[in-house]
Amino acid sequence: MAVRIRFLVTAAAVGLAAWFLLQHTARWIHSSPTAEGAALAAPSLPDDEKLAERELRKVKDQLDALRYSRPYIVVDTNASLLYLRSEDSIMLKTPCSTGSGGKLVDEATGRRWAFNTPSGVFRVESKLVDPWWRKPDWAFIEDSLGVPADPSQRLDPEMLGQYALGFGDGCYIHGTVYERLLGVSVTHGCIRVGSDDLERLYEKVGIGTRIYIF
Amino acid sequence: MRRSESALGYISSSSGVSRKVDIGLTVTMLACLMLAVSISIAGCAEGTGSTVSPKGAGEGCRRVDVEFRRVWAELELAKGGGPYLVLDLGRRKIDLRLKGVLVWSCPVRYEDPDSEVLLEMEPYLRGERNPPVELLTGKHLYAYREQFPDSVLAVVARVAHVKPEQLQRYEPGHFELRFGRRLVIDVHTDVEARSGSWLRNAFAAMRNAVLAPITGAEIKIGMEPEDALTLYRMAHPHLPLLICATAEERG
Repeated sequence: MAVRIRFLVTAAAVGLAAWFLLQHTARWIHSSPTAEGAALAAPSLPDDEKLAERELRKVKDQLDALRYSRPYIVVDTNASLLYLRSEDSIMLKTPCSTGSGGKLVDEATGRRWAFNTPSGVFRVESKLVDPWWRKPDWAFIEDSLGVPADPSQRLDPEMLGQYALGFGDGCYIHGTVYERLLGVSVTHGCIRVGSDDLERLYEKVGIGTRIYIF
Repeated sequence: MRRSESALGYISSSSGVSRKVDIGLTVTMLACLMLAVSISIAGCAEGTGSTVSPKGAGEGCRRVDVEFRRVWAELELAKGGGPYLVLDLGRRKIDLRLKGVLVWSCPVRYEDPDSEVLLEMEPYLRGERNPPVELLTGKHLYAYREQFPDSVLAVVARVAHVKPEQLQRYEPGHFELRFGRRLVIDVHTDVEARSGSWLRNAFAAMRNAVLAPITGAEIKIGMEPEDALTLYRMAHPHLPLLICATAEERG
């Protein structure tokens, strides 16, 4: 009997300790900021309301200055959509194809390629009409073909469609002969758009237009 | 009297208890009591941590302070260069911004009554959190629908020289995003979805149940399937979420 009583009292004490520990943990979780969050903490404002409002206006102006007033291109690689938009409106929304994420290894030379569309902020660097595709080595290796020595055998006048917008390190927004695959991420890194929407895009953007890819 | 060994000593079948067992139980009981008392004392001494009451008297100063913290946090996030989410509870939308520029936006609908949502998020809206930012710590997909038929992908994958599973996209029917130690956003769409792995779903539900007393806020929202696809796929660890409730147009 005494053993049982002592056991019950011990169990109750352990339960009480666990409860206090849980409460303490909850208090810690709700109060302690993460390191990254702490870096974003705002400094204290002056007590005077007018001075405080002045400080608020200053930071608001700084934030507004980061906004981009002209139309820009956005590529959503998650949903395979391309937009031409501004802060307040969307002028064009169209399905596109982006990088498949596939990998290729040339067994003969050990060279490797990863077919991803880069993410980040870029600018339109070139605008091309009736672009020809100069096939890189991987286009032949992927089909188990030999890489041609004659440069003219690399050229394909049809593959890129009627227009191309160049950005980044050799990336393009261009047309495609595979319009039925728009919306599926099948490319080797470039961004494919349907011919009609590509023409509208080409007409509306200029060199320097920003491209946001995420 | 039969005796058998135990970790603490011999236990007899009689009503008496060996001295070793008696001492062991007593020590354990006292240790637990001391632990409980010391933890509760430590907890009281810690206070409420980083929650800061806005300075200055009056509602005006408080409003300015809350707004200042939000704008300051967003300015720092924009300068940081990476993407960040903005959950605007007033305008009922989630934005994705990159260097301060809006790149994606989706309207949300509250699955719970407005008052409950605002009550859950009150610490952020009243300026009790500085900054009003949480970082993504995890996500879980409960139910989904394949975007493309497998038969189509089998053909496309051959042409594109990739695996079919790399091309497939899963439109979420139900998923959750966990931010920091305190915020869970539960997202639903009207996609006719099938449940994912029952074991993983059960584990996620169990984890939420265990952490429910600790989690600060949980809100349920609905959105269009296309938006949910983007939000779920773009949600990477440490993605910042800024929480605000604007009522006016910015700028």
